[in-house]
Amino acid sequence: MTIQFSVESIEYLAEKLSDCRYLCDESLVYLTLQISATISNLLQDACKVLRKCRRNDLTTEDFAFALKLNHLEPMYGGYTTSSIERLLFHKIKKDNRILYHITDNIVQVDELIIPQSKIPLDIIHWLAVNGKQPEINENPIIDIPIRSTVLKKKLNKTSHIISKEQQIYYKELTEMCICPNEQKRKQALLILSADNSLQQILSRLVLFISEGVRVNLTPTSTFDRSIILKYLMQMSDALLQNEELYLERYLHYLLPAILSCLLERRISRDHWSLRDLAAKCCKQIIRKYATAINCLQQRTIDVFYRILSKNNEDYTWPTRYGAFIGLCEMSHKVIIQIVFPLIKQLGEQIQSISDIELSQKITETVVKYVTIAYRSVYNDKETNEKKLYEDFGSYFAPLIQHNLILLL
Amino acid sequence: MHFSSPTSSSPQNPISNPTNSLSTNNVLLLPSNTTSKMSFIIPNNNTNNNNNSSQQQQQQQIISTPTSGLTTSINSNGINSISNVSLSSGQTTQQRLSFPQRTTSQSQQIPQEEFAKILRVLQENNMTESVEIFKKEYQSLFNKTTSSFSEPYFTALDGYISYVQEQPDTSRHEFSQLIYPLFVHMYLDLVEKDHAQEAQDFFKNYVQNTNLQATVFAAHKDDLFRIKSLVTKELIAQSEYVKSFRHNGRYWIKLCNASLELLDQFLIKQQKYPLLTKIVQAYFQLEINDGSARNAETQRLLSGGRLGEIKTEDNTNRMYYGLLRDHDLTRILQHKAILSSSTGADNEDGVGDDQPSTSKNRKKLKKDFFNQRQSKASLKVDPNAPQLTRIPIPELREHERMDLINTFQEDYSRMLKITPDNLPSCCYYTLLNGYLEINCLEVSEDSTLLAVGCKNSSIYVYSLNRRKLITMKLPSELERLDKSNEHIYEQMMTNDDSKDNTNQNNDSDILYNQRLLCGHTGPIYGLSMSREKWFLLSCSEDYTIRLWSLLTWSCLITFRGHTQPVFDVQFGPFGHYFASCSLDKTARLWCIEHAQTLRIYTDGCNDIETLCFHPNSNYIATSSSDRILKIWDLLESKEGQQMKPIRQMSGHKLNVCILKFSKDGRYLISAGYDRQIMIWDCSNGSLVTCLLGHSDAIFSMDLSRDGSILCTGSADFSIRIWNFGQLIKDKDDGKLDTLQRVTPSAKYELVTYRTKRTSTTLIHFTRRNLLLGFGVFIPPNDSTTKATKT
Repeated sequence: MTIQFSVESIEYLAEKLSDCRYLCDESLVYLTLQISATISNLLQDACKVLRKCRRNDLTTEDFAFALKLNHLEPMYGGYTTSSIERLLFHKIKKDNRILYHITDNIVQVDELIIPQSKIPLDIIHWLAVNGKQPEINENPIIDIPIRSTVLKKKLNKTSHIISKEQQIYYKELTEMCICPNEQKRKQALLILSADNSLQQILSRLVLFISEGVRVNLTPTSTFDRSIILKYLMQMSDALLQNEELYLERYLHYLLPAILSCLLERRISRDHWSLRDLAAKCCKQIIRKYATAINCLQQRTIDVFYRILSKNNEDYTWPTRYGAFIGLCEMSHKVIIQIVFPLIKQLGEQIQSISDIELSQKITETVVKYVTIAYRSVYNDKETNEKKLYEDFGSYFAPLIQHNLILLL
Repeated sequence: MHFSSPTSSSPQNPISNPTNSLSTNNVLLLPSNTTSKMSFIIPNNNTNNNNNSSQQQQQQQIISTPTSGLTTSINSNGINSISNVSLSSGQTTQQRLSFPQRTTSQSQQIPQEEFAKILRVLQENNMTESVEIFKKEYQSLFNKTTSSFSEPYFTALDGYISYVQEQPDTSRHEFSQLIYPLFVHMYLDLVEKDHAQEAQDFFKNYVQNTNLQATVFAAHKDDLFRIKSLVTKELIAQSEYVKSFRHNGRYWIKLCNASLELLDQFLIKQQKYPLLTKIVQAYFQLEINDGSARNAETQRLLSGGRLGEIKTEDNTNRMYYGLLRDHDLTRILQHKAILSSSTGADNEDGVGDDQPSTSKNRKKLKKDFFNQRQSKASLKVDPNAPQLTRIPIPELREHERMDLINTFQEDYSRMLKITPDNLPSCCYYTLLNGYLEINCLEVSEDSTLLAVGCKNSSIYVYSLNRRKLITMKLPSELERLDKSNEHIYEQMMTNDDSKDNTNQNNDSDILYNQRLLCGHTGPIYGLSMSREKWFLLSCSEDYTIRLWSLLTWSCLITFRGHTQPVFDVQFGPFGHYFASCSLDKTARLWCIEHAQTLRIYTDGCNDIETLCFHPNSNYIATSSSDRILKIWDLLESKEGQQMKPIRQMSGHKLNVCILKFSKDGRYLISAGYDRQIMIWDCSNGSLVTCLLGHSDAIFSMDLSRDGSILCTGSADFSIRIWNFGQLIKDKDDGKLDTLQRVTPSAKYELVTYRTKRTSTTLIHFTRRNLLLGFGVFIPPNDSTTKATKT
């Protein structure tokens, strides 16, 4: 605790207080020393209360206590008990100079008459039960690393400034990514999947993708959106391939965008490949970032399953296709556990589709994935025909059986 | 004022006498041949020298007075230099000491040309004598310019530090103990002799030395801040710190015999640095430690007191730290502790069966209890226990005793045994809306009442269980009661509690679960509730202590006596007595039946910040701002003698927040802002060990009811549980390998519980060993700064 006032400020005050009479330099130096020391002593006394009351923040009332203790004239104003905001010193920083001040507003008479301080209220909770802290709202998150990343995120949010060079880099990169020139785009995607310095502008890139998807999916967009969406998916695919990048913080932007492309209602040109690509991205995200804590996989599966399991025509076939492929891309385990029970019902529904191209496409995909997954579990050469029919219904069973034989 | 009475207080500055300097001036500057017409024009505004300016003016007047003619004019610089020269030549060597400080600042300003100019003037006037003296003086001055006033201080301290570094590793730390006090005394000397600037240089030079910072100054950071603000003589004279550092006793240093001999050789025999010898002789006391040099870590742990360590002699008086042998309460407590630990299961059933419902049963039970346990208790006679009559303690009243036996039987039979496998559960009370408003908290012994002391001088009392706060009936109603009825005590209370317990709504619930006590005229700093929940003590900034009745909810007595804000108050373990401590540098003992103080314990120049009663009610422990813990005896000392603490302990590096005696009364546990939990053995005042683990100040502490678990709450938003019983057991078995050293947290720490943003200011074990934590929620506020936090 070192307090040192500048001679100039004391000079200014002395002139103000003594009707602009000047003090000689020596007196000013002497005064400055004395005032610095007095304030320092007062602060030491104020800290006595601070310590006694087990606080961290020094309030104006602590200082008033120190004045009282030293039999000095009390200060008037500066401390009303209405709110914490008013009691604490605030920091102003300008031109490398720091000033602490308290907000000293005009107080209404009513406020003074009616006591404003709230009655202390206590909340009871279990901090620990038999040596373990229950995971409830009142308790802090015990895992410290998680806590620190949350903090970091907060900090980044407030002060993420990118340099001029990075801005240019970002602009060039995004322009390259969506330009029609095939070669340029490939080059850009290569950069996205390999450059580890992207972390700085990663948040912007993810936002670019997310916003791009949002804009191009709106019903009013007249542009040939499928192409743009595909480019954007290619971008996210490339980003996900980049081993150096840490995307977890931006998943809340990226994953919804990808799922939107995957489960889009309408049909556009070449939408099958778009869905395939999105499913691939989705798979990569889940492989990379799904943990027991964030339940990412569970949540995604829930979304897909809801679409597939509903019998009525809430969802269009392209959407269902997307959900199906999304599930299938995840893992064999998912296919076996979740997709297999659905196949029979799906087969019946597909038969009722009038669009031949559509039904063919779906059938093809279903058979492809199911066969591979089926093979991975039942590796015996002789496939049980009866069981196949039981499991997959009369529509799919022969097709799968045929494919199984082909695989051998 | 500083410049109106220059250096008059210092005996080494006799030049302040104007008549003296007048004569020397006359002799030197204006020799007998006054025929030479010579005078100087003196400009009025000489602003280029800061120090001793008034002297300068005096001298200049002196110079100008005897002359009338006007021949030569020299600029003010020249005049200053002449007056300097002339003055210093007239003084003896000792007197000269005071001057070089000024000449150093000016010697650079006197260039060679100036000197020549003056010489020419003198020669032109045929003042041969003056010329010679002038030349001589000038030369002697120039030779001296390099050595300033602070030079001997620098060389002495540097010399000592290098001497310390020459010592072998094993004993170097013994010698380095002297560096800090030497440094402080030297700094204060420099400031007192009006060499503020040099003192600042001196301070900076050593404090910013990283090597010293880590070793010597680490234990004294708090005081170094204080020292830094002492920049003028007047401040030193006023400073509380200097008073307690210089005039409260000698700085106590413990050394082994070999080191002491070496030091004696260096300081007394060699006399290389007389300054050091002088300071050591004036302010230090060296004590020979038996045997070889102590461990460096032990020494570091024990340092930190403002006046070094504690005289071994001070801790030799006998302290009766055992529990009261024959007191009912002790017996109940001890008995139950034995019960719960050895034959817990058997007794639990027994208690459940003969749960007393009639008076006969009760009395029988009581009789059995005392007869039966008499033998067991008498087997374990503690030689360290004080006589029951040593400090008179009121007997328990019949109904009190019954109540105690009942409640303790019930609660202790269900007491959980806390072991590393069976960690305690913790129920946490977070107080909202209270940051900066709530100053202190207190919970009753049976964990049913919470008292909250606020800054706005009001006290709230809450009921922690679902029951209403009871109130005693009015006197008129009390008179009508049948006094022979055995339920008289229950009938004395308003009994709406039992009646509408079922059909009350939540609003009234809140209303009757909370009481407000008004009376103080300043912030409340301390609260204490008596064991039977009848009384509440509060102390405040308004210099008073108030006793409140928790039955009539009114103030009974106001205790006046302290002359400064009262910082802490605590009931004795048996009620009746209580102790308080204050910023008026005293701790006082009171009794609730008298409005006057029974004992006053003064502590020189240091504020007393917290206190704690010994469980046998014979002693109190206090901590003061010089970071030394003291244990005082309640027994009156001999006629005319000043109250002296029976034990003193130094070791904390910053202020202590909380003190607690162990349940058996043998150990004192202290913790505070320096994050150390120190365990002291009361039998001889020695340190057992120091537990480290918290990352911020420790505010609260409690021991489990069986005394085996220590729990600490800290400003780092955590509660830590320590296996205290194991530690003491290891110590008794001689297995504690960190005796008098730091024990890292991993060894005895059982578990850490974290809170969100609440620093636990009160922690409490219920009778069943459930842990209760209390704290005020600290709202996050980014704009506020943690300014000026020591």
